[in-house]
Amino acid sequence: MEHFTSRISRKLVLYIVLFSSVITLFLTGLQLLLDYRHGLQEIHQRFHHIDITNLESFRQAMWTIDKSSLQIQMDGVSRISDIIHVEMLNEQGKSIAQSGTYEARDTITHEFPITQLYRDREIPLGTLIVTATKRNLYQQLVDTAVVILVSQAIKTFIVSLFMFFIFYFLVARHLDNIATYLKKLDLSRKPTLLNLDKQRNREVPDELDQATDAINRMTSNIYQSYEKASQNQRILAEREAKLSAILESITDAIVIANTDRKITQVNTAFSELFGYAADEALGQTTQFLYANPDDYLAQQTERFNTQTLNRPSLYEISYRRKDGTVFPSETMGGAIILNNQNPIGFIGVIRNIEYRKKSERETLELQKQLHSAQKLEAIGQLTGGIAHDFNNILGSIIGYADLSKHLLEKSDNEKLKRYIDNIDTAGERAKNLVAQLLAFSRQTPSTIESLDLKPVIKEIITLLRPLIPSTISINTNIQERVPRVCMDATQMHQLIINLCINARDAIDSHGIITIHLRHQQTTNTRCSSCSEPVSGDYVVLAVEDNGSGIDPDIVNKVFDPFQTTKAVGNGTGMGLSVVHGILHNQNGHILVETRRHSGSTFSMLIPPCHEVPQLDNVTSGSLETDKHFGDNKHILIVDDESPITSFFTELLEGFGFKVTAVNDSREALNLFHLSPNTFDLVITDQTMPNMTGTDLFKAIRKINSSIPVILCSGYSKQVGEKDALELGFSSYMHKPIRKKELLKNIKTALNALPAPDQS
Amino acid sequence: MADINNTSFFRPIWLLLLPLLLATGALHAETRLHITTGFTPPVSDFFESVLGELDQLMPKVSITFEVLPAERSLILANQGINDGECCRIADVIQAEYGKLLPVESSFFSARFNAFGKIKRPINSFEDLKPYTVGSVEGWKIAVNKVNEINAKETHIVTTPEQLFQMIKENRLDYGVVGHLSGLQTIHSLNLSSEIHAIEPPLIEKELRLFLHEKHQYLIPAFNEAIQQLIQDGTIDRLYTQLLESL
Repeated sequence: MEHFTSRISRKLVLYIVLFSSVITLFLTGLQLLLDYRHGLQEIHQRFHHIDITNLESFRQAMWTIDKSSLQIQMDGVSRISDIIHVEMLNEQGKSIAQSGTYEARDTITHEFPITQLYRDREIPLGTLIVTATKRNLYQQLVDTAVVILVSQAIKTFIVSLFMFFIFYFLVARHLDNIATYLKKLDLSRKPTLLNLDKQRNREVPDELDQATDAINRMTSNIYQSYEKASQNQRILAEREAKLSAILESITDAIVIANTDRKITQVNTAFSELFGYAADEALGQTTQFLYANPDDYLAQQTERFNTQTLNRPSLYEISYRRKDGTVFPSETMGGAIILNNQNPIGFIGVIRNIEYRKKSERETLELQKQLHSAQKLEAIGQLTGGIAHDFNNILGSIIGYADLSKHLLEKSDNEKLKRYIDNIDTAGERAKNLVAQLLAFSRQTPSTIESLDLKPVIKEIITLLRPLIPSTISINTNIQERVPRVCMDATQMHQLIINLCINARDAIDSHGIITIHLRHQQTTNTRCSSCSEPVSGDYVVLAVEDNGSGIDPDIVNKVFDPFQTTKAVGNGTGMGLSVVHGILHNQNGHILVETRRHSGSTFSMLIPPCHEVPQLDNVTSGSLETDKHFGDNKHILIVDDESPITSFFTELLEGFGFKVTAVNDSREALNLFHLSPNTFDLVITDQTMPNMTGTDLFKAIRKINSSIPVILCSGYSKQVGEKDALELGFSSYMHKPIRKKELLKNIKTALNALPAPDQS
Repeated sequence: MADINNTSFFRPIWLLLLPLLLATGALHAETRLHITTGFTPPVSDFFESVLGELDQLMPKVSITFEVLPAERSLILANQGINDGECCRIADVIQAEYGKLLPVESSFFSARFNAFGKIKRPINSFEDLKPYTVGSVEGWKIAVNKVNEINAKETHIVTTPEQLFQMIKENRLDYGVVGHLSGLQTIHSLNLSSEIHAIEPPLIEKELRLFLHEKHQYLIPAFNEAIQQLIQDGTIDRLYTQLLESL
């Protein structure tokens, strides 16, 4: 049965049926029209028949006014086929007789005038009106139509069926085979030839044979073309895949647009960068991507137009993400030009340089900080370098000033005494300056102790009050429970005083200085001087003023040495540098907040102290007046500076010591080696040619492990006080050395000696 | 100008000749009258005879006579196609045919007698009530009376022959029909020995001659001529001749 589902055959039958039906309907209509006319003609013939056969009888009856005869004749006429009504009107138009039933619908009426030739005159006797119905005609037409249509339908059905089978066997089944062959055609394999199930006329092939040959040639050609196309498609697909992979592998956002600047392709990096899914961007102009709408038009003029053949070039421009945020970019944008013809579109390769810009800013900032740190470090090194020599020089100046003052104690030469006092004062100032430099470079010797800052602050306020005008109030804001800090008390004084003096100078006439003390946790802040990140548990001692504030241009330079806004002679410019050095030497930091014309706050962040250092409570007592303090103890003094050894020799011999001064450390060692038990104490400089103080100490201790040794140093990077004590030195003295300090340390060293053997 | 002069020349001649021509025509004028009747023989024969006498008697009138179907005769006379109708009951005719004018003198009376095999004394239609009675279509005055009496049986037939055949066959006891028509039919059917006319007549009506109104001026002449024929015994003579022929 599936063979008979041929659509073409069914269509053929359908068309035959339709066409045949139309023709049948037309011919049937024509036939009915002719039959209708014929029927009308027959009715009129009946009228004519009445005229020639009955009218004379009617005339006679009307002439004789024989109504019964008239009625009989009318009844006879009314029985004629199709005649339904006969009526006779007299000459006056009055109905005098009728037969049948009159109907107005579907009827034909014919009037017969009845006259009599009487005495050469035509005398009207009346009018016979005969009415015929067309109903019979219509019924006949219906019967005829039914017969014609039914017979035509049967004929059409039979003919169609016949044509269906003929067409199927001659054409449709072959077309079906061709369709099946073409459906199964797999162009990826070499196609088999199409053969139809029919006898082939080799000399005169029919249309199906020709079609078969054409299809076989066509499939062969298509197969060859398909092979080529498949190959090209594979190559193209590989290229597209590579291109797509390249686009997707690029971490920069890529936007490809047509010549109308409507986006046709984007990569994944685009979606990640801008926040737009590809579907949201495709089809839109690139205008929505620009942070500044004017850039869109500017780029149109400069780069993205079809009039100029602008190859992609690099430029920086800002874009806007979907979330509204703007980011800077480095974009490679321009026209896509195919075969040096007109541009086929535009491409933009967008690299987000937001982090690079930030990194550049941070790098610049770090470079500034590094520069600042390097500058501080250089100053520190410079300071350390010269401090030794300065201290040696100052040691001689101050030492001899002390000796001179000692010699002139009983002299009346007041003028000379004043000169020596001036020398001593200048030496002391120079000593302080060197000490500040060393403090800044964190190389100052200090005595660390556990300090409660509350009484320190009160003590300092008392000391400060004379230095601060009465128009400036000093307030405190001190938290009740604040941990102790590990600081040198003197240095702590120096820190607070330096900051308060600066606060005073920042206030023109009237103002308030507030000293805050609190314990707080500090997080995510940065030291204003060293720029290091600061976080942790700190005791904060802040000095706040409501003065002029600090100019933003110099706020980053306030910790630089010799940086001052004060008049010449009013400040050394070392105040905040010393603060920086002392604080950082104790792992502290400082924060600066300044408000233009509203004042500044310098907050010192000092780590709380958990260990309480042991203080050396040795006092010099009245050593300076005890002329027999030396008790003829033998001291070996080693220093490459002869003024120093001379000063020490003269000073100590004045106090009853026996002194052997040597300016070469190796000579001193030899001397000690020859008579190790001769000496009670060794005082040595650290920095000396040929052999340092520590090397000499080690060598002497090998000879006499119990002899006390005091280390003196103008400045040494290698050995500080702590190092010296750990090595076993009795004490450490920092040049220039005052008489008092020297005697105190000598006494401490000698007191530490083991008791002499009583036996 | 010549034509005008010619016309003016002949005008006085025409004015002299015209009265002469009119006077000559009037002297020799004769009115032709075609008078019809709806009666059939022998009555029509009687009428023809009387009209022949009138034609003779009236020198300025020329009468032709024709027998027509009864109603057609009236219609044609009323339409003026024919000139007169002979003869009808005056009061009946004048109602339907207004253009026919009667001549006052009557020369014939229509009589309807009962005819039967048995001569019983029948003096009115009521006397016929116990019997089966018939009549002939056409004479409405007789037919209506027969129908009115509500006789034992009533049969209205088409022709006098049918009526007398039915009497002969004893299907009717009596038939009411015109006297002359009955006698002629009995004679023609050879039933004179079996069927008799019973006297007196049940209906007797005078009939009048009618002329179309266009001939109204001739009515006095016809009246005078008919009076003359009645008075000189011509009418009776002609009627007697008719009865003798039946």
